[in-house]
Amino acid sequence: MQNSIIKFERVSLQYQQGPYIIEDVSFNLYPGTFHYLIGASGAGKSSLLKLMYSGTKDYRGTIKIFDRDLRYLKPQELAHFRQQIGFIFQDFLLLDHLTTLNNIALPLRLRGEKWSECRKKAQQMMKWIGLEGFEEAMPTTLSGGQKQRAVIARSIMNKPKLLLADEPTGNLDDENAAKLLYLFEELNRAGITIIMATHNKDLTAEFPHPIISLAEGKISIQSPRGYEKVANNA
Amino acid sequence: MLNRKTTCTEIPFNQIKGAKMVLGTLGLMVFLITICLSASVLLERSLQTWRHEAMTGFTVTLPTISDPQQHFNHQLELMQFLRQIPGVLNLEVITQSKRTSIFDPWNYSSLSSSSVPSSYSIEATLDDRVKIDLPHITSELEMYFPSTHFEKGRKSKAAFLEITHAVQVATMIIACLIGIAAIFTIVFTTHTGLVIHERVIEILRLIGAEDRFIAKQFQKHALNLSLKGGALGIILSTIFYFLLTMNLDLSLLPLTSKSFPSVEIWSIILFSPLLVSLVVMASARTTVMFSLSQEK
Repeated sequence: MQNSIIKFERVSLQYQQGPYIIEDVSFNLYPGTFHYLIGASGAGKSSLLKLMYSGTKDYRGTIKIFDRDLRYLKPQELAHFRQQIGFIFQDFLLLDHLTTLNNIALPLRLRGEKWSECRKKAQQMMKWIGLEGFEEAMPTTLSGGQKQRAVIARSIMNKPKLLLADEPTGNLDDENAAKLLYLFEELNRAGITIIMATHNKDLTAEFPHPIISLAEGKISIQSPRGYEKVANNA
Repeated sequence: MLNRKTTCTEIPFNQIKGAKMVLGTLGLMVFLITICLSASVLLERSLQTWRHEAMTGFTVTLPTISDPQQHFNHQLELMQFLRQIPGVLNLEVITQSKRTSIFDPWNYSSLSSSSVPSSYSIEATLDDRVKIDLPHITSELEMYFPSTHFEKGRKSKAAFLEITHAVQVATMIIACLIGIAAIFTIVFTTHTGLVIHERVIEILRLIGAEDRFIAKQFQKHALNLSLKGGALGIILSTIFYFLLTMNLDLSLLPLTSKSFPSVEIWSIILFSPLLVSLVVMASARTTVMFSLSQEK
């Protein structure tokens, strides 16, 4: 039996004295899988992703990512842990004062790689992702699709094992959204585990993958036809 | 050719226009620290010389005699006796009024009234090479001049030396306080920077930036500001000493070398900014590391 890459055991999350965002949730996700995360606005999709990148420790239960219990991650280990995860957000989160190339090279810079190496690798990545010629462009001058590609490029520069995407198609038109999904599928084929939060049911139908549904703090995982059920809601 | 310049800081410090104010403040602080430390060094050198002068002598204290003629004769006899002691170069009578006048600038005038016992002293300046036989002189004085009090050192200088030493300590304390103020300034500026760049820092941490990487950015920025501020401080100090040298009668400072500012002063002018830069850099780093650790 393959080890899970993400393991939730009776996890509950509640902000202060408010209602449970996630209540007593248990599930396993395995390496190399691609899951959609769906749910109504405010259902807790972003909170679930936040738990996965150790954005908060105010939860109950046990979360293990890469076989590491996130509760016991030391501060200096957190950065190293996050270097193994790629993040893609709806609002891009590019650094506007850096050029596109420098934004993409950032994860390598954070690891302390030499500038010349960072530049070389970032240029190759930009070429692969279709942003060649935009090296010196500032993020504010890029289109939504270009920004999203830049963010994807940045998120996979470190060759992450896990890619977390929070509504990455939210600011894209249908054509760019479809292109993004093709890109994700390519990354998934390269072995990256992907969890993508989305509202876009057309996309989930066009590119079928197992779906994690989140409603009223509970989750259920359904696989489309032809897919093996990879995880169970406990 | 790709532009490398934009990679220098992952945090956009150059977007804060008020940074120049911090630079100016640090420059002024470096200047003030330089002045205080220089004053302290000059006072220390003066103190060394004055201490030496004060110690190469002795003081004989006698109560004042009410009859002026008798008092005068008594003083004359004592002076004659003291002149016979080998190595005595000079004798000086320190009356109550003279003692008061020495300390007038220090607001010691209140001492002239009843707070000081009515007495006078004779201070002797000795040849450096002579060794005083203190017990012998004391016993002879007691024999010929009862109720005299003999002490090594020139007592009128002692209080002056104490005051000068206090001033020296005060300059050091002021320098330290200015240094602490510089630390507070940097801590405040760094905290402000953390708030202003919160989003950028959040993104950096999200993609795997270690706290020390972020701290290094602030550290570099603080170093940059403090070095520029230090340069400003050096310029201000140099102008200050140039103007001081132009207007100062060097004969009033017999204890300083003819080439004023001396090597010591130049060292202070040059090393104070470096010291401040190190302190500022360490303060910025500590502030960032502490603040980020609190957020976890």
